[in-house]
Amino acid sequence: MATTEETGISMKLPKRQSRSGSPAAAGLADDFDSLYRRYLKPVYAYVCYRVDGRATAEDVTAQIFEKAWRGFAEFDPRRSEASTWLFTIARNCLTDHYRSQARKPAVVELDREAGAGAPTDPEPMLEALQLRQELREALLELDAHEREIVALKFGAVITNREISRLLEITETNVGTILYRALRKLKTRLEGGMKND
Amino acid sequence: MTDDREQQDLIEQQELLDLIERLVAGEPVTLPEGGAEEQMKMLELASELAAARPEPTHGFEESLRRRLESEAARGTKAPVADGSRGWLPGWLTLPRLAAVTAALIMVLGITGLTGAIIRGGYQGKIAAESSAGGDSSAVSSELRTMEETAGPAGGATGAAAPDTGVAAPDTGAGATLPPLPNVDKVILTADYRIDLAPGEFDDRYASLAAIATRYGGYVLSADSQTGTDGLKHGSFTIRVANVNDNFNRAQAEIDGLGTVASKKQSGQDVSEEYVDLESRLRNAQAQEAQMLALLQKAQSVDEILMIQSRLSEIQSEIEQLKGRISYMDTRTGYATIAVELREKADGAGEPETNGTDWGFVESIRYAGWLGVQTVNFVIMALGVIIPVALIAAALYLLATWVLRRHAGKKAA
Repeated sequence: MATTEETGISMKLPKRQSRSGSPAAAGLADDFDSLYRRYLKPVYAYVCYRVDGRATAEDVTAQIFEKAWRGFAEFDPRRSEASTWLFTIARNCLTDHYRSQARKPAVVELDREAGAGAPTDPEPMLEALQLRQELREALLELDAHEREIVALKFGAVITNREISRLLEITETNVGTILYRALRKLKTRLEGGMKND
Repeated sequence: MTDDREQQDLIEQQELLDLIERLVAGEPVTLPEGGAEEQMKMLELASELAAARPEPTHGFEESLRRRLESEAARGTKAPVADGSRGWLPGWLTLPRLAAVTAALIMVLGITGLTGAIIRGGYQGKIAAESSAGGDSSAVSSELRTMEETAGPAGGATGAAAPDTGVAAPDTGAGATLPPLPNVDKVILTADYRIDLAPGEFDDRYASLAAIATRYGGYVLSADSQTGTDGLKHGSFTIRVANVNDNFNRAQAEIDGLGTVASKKQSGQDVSEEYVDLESRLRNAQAQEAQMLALLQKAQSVDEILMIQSRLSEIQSEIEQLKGRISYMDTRTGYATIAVELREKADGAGEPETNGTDWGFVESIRYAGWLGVQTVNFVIMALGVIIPVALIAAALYLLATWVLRRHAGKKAA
């Protein structure tokens, strides 16, 4: 996949407003452009784990970065890491997305049972993931918390420490939930195979 | 045993998590030789998940970048955090703030005014009554209204009197006041102000004294004066024996003396206190008897002195109790009626001014009072409204914020 640099798109994105006396902290978050380059793929992959289909994933990803752009002046690298900041926005956008989905049932695919999904979390089908069907179905059986951590781990590829900061739980807890989720997936897949 | 197993689990968990960490970081991961089968499978799953990570298409990457760049080029308003950071929303503009404030002030004012009017209806009456003390015209006008309206309502108040014992129907109503019951140990009092026609004073005073005598009582005090205009006025206090409904019958006769400008009667039930006094008296008397008996047996001078000193304390207490009881006997045995007789120039004693007093001045005074009350009430209401308004404002801000976020999403 070609990176932005390779395609030679000019870097017109603004520099972050410099704060008096603040040295450029955490190189990656130095300006919005590098933030964009660094995090577009993780954010997109994370979103793919949480929503249905590529089109929706692209839509939500665009919203996340627009929101990030608008809020970038408020972002203080001394107070939080760029990843934590950005993924917080991402999670808020996803929450909004689920809500709007729940409020517009007509848009939701018809083969889904009407009103069956929880209003805040309509079941995404994870079609954007390049996964075999069984694993995708197994993922859908995880509870919201487990799926969130799987998405952050394998989609966003952020460290357990970052996840713990984002979700405001302990790092150990993140590991435990991740481990539990994997075991659930394994059990589910084995069960599925037996059924076959 | 269980602890060991748990320990082992934890170690395996940590190993697996470390491997996963390297896996997602893109480092080469070699599956540990002879690792537990379960772990191997989970690691395989993890690598599968990591490999499933979709990448954004080049087209999307490019179009999003253009969108952001165009927004930057448009020089959008100073970027404001609209996401997770910076809770103060950028849309909290001055007009909205002003509108909310104005609405709050209006609510405040209306509440205050309503409250003042409600309270005013009640307090205004009381204020008029209490201010009427030295102002006969005000009292009379107030009274006339009351005499017309107080009928059944007054009855209800009076009916409660025997229960509470402390009846104080001070509404100043006239002839329609219900008779107070002649309950034992109730101090009954009545206050009259009676307007007379010129020249009637002496005759009416004689009648008053006759009433006192007729109902087994006496004139306690009398005081009369003649004003510079030749009109007489005076204050009298009579007592009537508190038996056979004398109190009410005497009042009925006094009602006929002239025009009753004001009338107030009250009863104070002192039965409880009376019973208490009596029992204390009995107790003290018993002690006295004991002391006297002890005195007989006393051997030494010291003993005698001690007993005598105690005895005198008891006897003095007995005297006090007896005095109090006797006072109460008198007060309850006789009902006290204070009557103020006043000759008024011309007419049947009605103050002439009342005929032309259309209540205009009163209205103005009342309006002024209402105004002050309104201010007072608003100040008091602030204590309630400010916290409520804060909560309401917070809810409003939250709701608008959520709606706006949603609307923004739709637009996007």
